[in-house]
Amino acid sequence: MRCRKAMRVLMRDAGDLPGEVRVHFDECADCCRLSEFLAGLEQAGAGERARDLSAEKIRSTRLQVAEILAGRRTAPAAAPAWGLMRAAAWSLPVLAALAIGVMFFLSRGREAEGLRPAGPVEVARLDAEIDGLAGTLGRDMARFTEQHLAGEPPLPADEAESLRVDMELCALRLVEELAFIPARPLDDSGRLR
Amino acid sequence: MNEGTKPVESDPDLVRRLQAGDLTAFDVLFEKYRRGMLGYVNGLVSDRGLAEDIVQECFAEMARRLDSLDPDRSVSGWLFRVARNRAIDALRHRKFEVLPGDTYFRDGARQPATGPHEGPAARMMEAEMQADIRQALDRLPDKDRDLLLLRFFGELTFEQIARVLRRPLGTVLWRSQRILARLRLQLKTENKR
Repeated sequence: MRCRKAMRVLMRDAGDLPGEVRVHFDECADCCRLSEFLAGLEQAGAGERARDLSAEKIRSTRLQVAEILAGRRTAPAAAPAWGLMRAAAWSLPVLAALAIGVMFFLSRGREAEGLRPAGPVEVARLDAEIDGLAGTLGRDMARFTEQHLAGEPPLPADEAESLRVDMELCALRLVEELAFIPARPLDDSGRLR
Repeated sequence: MNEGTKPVESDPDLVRRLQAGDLTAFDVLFEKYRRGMLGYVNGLVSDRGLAEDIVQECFAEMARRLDSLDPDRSVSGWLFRVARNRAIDALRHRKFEVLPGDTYFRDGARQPATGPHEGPAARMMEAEMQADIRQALDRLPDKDRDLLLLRFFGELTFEQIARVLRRPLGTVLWRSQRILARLRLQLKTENKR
């Protein structure tokens, strides 16, 4: 059960969101601590935003930007492009060599743990899958909340189970973010066999 | 509309004017976003001076890359993304010096400029609440803390956060739900102690 009061604090700009997630939350009697925490965070954020850059910083930033804009008007168009190409020509092989070196060392450690590096295609596929899944989950949750607020009965057991499985799949994002996938199958608890 | 009230100019129009070399357009963008960026970056790096430098560098970077900026894409998303990358780089460089959150509330950032809390008792309660917030934030995974900082310190909408993090809106909403669940559990556990 989510705290609806806290959700209201978090999603104060729900009007900015697409229709399907525009949900109005009631007061929650049970879970005030979380909403108090978020309200405190909101107050902390407001306090932080009340503080500005120092006057000197504002002046120097403005001056720096004015110089850049003035330089932009007078500089020959080809110069930055040439500089960029020259920088890229130098940095690309260096970056590639570094990336290969880092991947090599990471791979050795990971292989010992039963993981192997994922290829770019696998990573892209996982990324798209998990993003899609998370998007669906976000919409589902908003729909369930709306249904709940409208007084409809709770989720049937099979739908709740399906939601739970979806959330476990999302946990795989961790693996995707490390760009490694298990070389050995996982057991029921999600650990490497 | 009140007499003397200027119509609010949209970000795309401001970027177009800036691309044409109009420094007043920069002033408007700078005024609009610098405090939110400063709050967000300070929340990430816990170092006011460094945060100011990063914010300055972000705006200078915007001026340098003006030709490649697409006015119709979110300039706030671009600015916060650059700020985030710079802050992460800065943290990487000094990760053995100061842990994130260590100095988080040390510079009085949580004291609103014209706060309603006066007197030693009120200040003590506020300090206690700030300490709770700091501990809870520090225990969150980096990604979750980042999202909360963007939301409450940067005062971004979920759509803007999705652009900064380059994730679909559904993913951001799903993650924010997950953060609430995690925080709720964390605060509940602390309360029992």
